[in-house]
Formats: sequence, structure tokens, C-alpha cells
Amino acid sequence: MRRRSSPSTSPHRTEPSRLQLLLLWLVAADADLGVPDPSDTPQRDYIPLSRVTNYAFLLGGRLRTVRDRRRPLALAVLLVLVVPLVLVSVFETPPAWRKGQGRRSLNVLFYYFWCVTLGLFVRAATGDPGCLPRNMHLAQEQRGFQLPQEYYNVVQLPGPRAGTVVQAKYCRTCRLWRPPRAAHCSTCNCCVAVHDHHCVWLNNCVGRRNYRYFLGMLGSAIATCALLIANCGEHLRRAPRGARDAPVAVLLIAWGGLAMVYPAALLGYHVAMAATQQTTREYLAQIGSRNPVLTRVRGNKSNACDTGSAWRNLALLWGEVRGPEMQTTRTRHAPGDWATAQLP
Amino acid sequence: MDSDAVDDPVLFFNYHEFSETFYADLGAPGAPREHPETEALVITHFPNVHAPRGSQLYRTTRVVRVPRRFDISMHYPNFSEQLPGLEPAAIVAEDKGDSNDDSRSMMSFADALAAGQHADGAGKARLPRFIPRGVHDGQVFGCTSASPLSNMLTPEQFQQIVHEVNVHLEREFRALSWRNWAGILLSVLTFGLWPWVAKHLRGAAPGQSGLDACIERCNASPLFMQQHLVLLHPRDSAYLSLDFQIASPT
Repeated sequence: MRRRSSPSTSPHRTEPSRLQLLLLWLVAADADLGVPDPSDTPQRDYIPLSRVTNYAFLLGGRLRTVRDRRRPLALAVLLVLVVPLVLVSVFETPPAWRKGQGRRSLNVLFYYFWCVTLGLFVRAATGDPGCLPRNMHLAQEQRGFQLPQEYYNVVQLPGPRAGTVVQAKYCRTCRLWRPPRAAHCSTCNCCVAVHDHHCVWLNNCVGRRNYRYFLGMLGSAIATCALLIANCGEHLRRAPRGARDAPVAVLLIAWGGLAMVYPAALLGYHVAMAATQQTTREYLAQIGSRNPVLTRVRGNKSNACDTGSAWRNLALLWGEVRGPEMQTTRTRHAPGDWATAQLP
Repeated sequence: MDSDAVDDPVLFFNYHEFSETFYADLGAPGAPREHPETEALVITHFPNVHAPRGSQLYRTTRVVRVPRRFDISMHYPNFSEQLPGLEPAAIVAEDKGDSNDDSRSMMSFADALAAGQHADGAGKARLPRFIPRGVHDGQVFGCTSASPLSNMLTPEQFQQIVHEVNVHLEREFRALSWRNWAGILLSVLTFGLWPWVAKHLRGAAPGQSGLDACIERCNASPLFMQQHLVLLHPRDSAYLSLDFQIASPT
């Protein structure tokens, strides 16, 4: 499954076994079935895609994650999510359910928001951020698909308001003219439409097609933490001997408080950035630093996307239409498909 | 196309095209040689990446790419409605030594369009044409931004087609619309199942939006059929360009 074979060395492949195909369906990372036979059933796109991008695809291309064995931070996030759920289910819910006293509804709300957070986390982390198919703007065939000099320029085009200028760049890896706001993510190794940032905690990019899940996840994570604190606080208030009767509640309050800080700060930044029509990437480029802590979010005068109204800006960026999947993973394409081809 | 003029307003052009001075003359397609800058070929049609590599369709067709424009909106895809070669900063033949009368008059035609004047009988006679001048990459190209589309569609026909596509794209991709926000609300209420439900509610013709029908109608028209011209769905090019598939020009 992980064997690398170049077309020149294995013109006649052996048929992959059923076990190999099952493993490939489960996890496809740098998958290579050898040279596809033109008469074969076309492969699903995730198989060549696992070679040209840095994504590993799970369950037949339905889920994805970046191959990064050094920093499995997405698993750390899962741990931060699962631990309080287990503790609440063991130490908080049973007494609350027995005694009632209004704590049942708080419990139900906690579980609801926890499920929403997990669901949005999975969608944001394993979904398509808006990857663009490769080689859409191939210039020529000769001299190994050589790029013309003009494609190295940053092109300036008229923007929506008088005097605004929009810059367009050609991605030399993906071989396409990137629309404004699209960027090539070197970690994922693909161009992402309306690229916000590559999130190490999600182990995925945040872009046009998962930005709303990312924001929803932040919001529901804050709500989950708040409900965790409310649940345990109520337990503590009703305990006759206070913290001595409910030590786990104290631990969970601390957990909820700490776990809330980062999503809350992040959401705050995203409100301010969206209100000034900036993506994280544009904002960090504007302040010229990778660390925005304690930097005030200001609008950018040369920003052609800015409508001048904070609400309008916010609605435009947060409510951006997801659009269809551009680089499909489940579609079958005949051998020789350009969108997943690796060119020199 | 000159970028050093800072004070001049930025002009729109087809950023897909590029020029090439090392090419073969039409009479000797096997012997490429260096040409002066003034005789540079303008590459206006490209390999058809929508056909599998090495297929018959790939070998016999090319695509003309209509670029995205951003002066209408930054928030949804919108394509240039000017026939390639008529953009404000298109390369025209006015200062080329061997230009013929057809291409020399293009600037005036573009100006006339910009001024809102409709091409009358006299204007039509001065339409920009794709005139092969040399061979590059196994294909023939002219020395101006006029693509082979110029020989198939009039600027008005082209404008009409692309405008219709743009209207559909705006409807589909505009964020500030009832359709979009109702979709978001329904998605929240149904735990994200709404897009899936909506897809199955549409049922009979999955993925059939107004744009699909518009493109199908366009491709079934005699104008397109007779010239082997195919308008490809912008989804196929990830909405990065609007591609017209043409038979390789000869």
C-alpha cells in the first residue's frame, strides 16, 4: 500500500489483493496501485490525491487528515474534549439526575453542546477546507510543461471600488491562477480557496468550505465549557461540605475555565478580523508577525474586499457560501486525469 | 500590460495569455527560431485539461480560458464578459510592422464597445480575427490577444453567454441572500444534515441548477454544435476560469 513505484519501473503491476484494497479504503497515505491500466475501472480520486497532497484519506476518501506523525495535536484536542465528558458522566450526572432540582436541564444542555462541539470538530478537522484541483491552468506541454515568464508576475487587476487593486498570483505547484484569498498551504500541499490559516489543532487547513464549522466549533466549545462550569458550580453550591463533598466538581470547573480561554480568544479575533474583512492570513501579513497576541485588529485600507460596514463584512465572511467540493475525493476519473496528475 | 506605469489606472486583461518569441513559422513548422519582440506569438488557447491526458479528445481540442474579473465583486465568481482580445489592456496589432488591416482596427472596435456603441454593419467588418502567425507547442497562434473564439462568436454573443453564466453564479454564490442564510439556519437546526436533505429533495435531477441548464442549452445550440464549440461548466475548472473547448485551430 505504501510502496512507491515509479511508472518506469513497474509497467505491469500485480493485481492488488482484497486485503490491500481494504487497507487502502481504511487509510490511503501516499497510496500507489501502480500504473493504472486504461481498461480498468477508474480509481476514486482520493488514491492519486494521497500522493500529490500531504493528506491521508480515511474510509474511502470520506475523511482526511494531514500526515504528521510528529505532532498529533488533533488527538490532544480530542482528549481535552473527552476527559470532562467521562468525569461528568461518572461523578456529576448520576447525582444530578437523582436529585433533580433544575440540574437535569443543565446536564442535558451540556451533553447537547458537547455533541455539537465534537461534531463540528470532526467536520472541520476531517472535511475539505476548499482544496483546488491541480493543473487547471496548464500553460503548455513543451519543455516539461515549462511555465512562461509572465506566470511568475504578480498580476494587478481592477478591484470592485475605484482605485482598489486586486492581485493575482499563479501557483507554480498547483499550476493555476489563484483567485484572491486562495493560498497554497505547504503543510497540506494544496491550494485552498479563501485560505484562513492552517490549524495545527485541527491538523487541517481552515478555508472556504470548513470556516463555518471552525467558527461553530469555537462557539459551541465556549458554551460547553460555560455549561460545565454551571453544572459543577451548582453541584458545589448544593454540597453540604462544599469542595470536600465534590472534589471532581472543583477539578472540572478549573478544566472548563482553562479550556474556555483559547477558543474565546480565538473567536474574539475572528469577530474582529471578519468585521474588517480580513482572513487570519491577511491579518498576520498586515501586522508582519506570526503572533497576533495583544495586537489590535485594524482594517486594511488597501483591502479590496472591505465593504466599509462591519456587519456586512461579518456576514459576508462568516456566511460565505461553501460551494461544491472542487477537488473531489470520491469521484472516479479515467487514468490521465489532469487534476490529480503530478507534473515535473 | 506594462506594470511600471504606477499612476495609470490598472487595466483589465486576460492574465492567462502569454507571449512567445521562440516559435516556428507557418511555412516551416519543424524549425523554431527566435523572433523579434514585435512578432511575438500571443498564446491564447491552452491544453484541454478537462480531457484525460493522451485521449483522442485531448489531442484534438484546446481550451480558451476566460479570466475571472473582480471589479463587480470579490465575494462570488464572475467572469470577464469581453471577448478575449477586446479587454482594455489586450495586446493588439497596432504597433506591429506586419499587421494587417483587420487587426489594426481592433483598438477602435474596443473603444467603440467601451463607449457603448453597438457594432453596426461597418463595425462587424472590423471584428478582431484570430490569424495564425506561427507554430508553438504543436499549435498555431496569432500575434494578438484575439483567440480562436473571435472567429466563432461575435462580442455580443459572447457577452450574452458569459453574462447569463455570471447571473447564475451570483445567485448561487452570493453570501448575502435569503437562500444562503436560510440554508445556514436549516443546517444548524438539522445538525448539518440540510444540504444532504436538500440534495435528495431536488431528487429527479441531482445537481441540476439553473447554470447546468443554461450551459446545456448553450451547448445544444446550432451556433455551438456547428463549430464544435463547447462551453465547459465552471465547476470543472473550480470556478477559476470559464473554459470554452474548441477544435484545435489549423
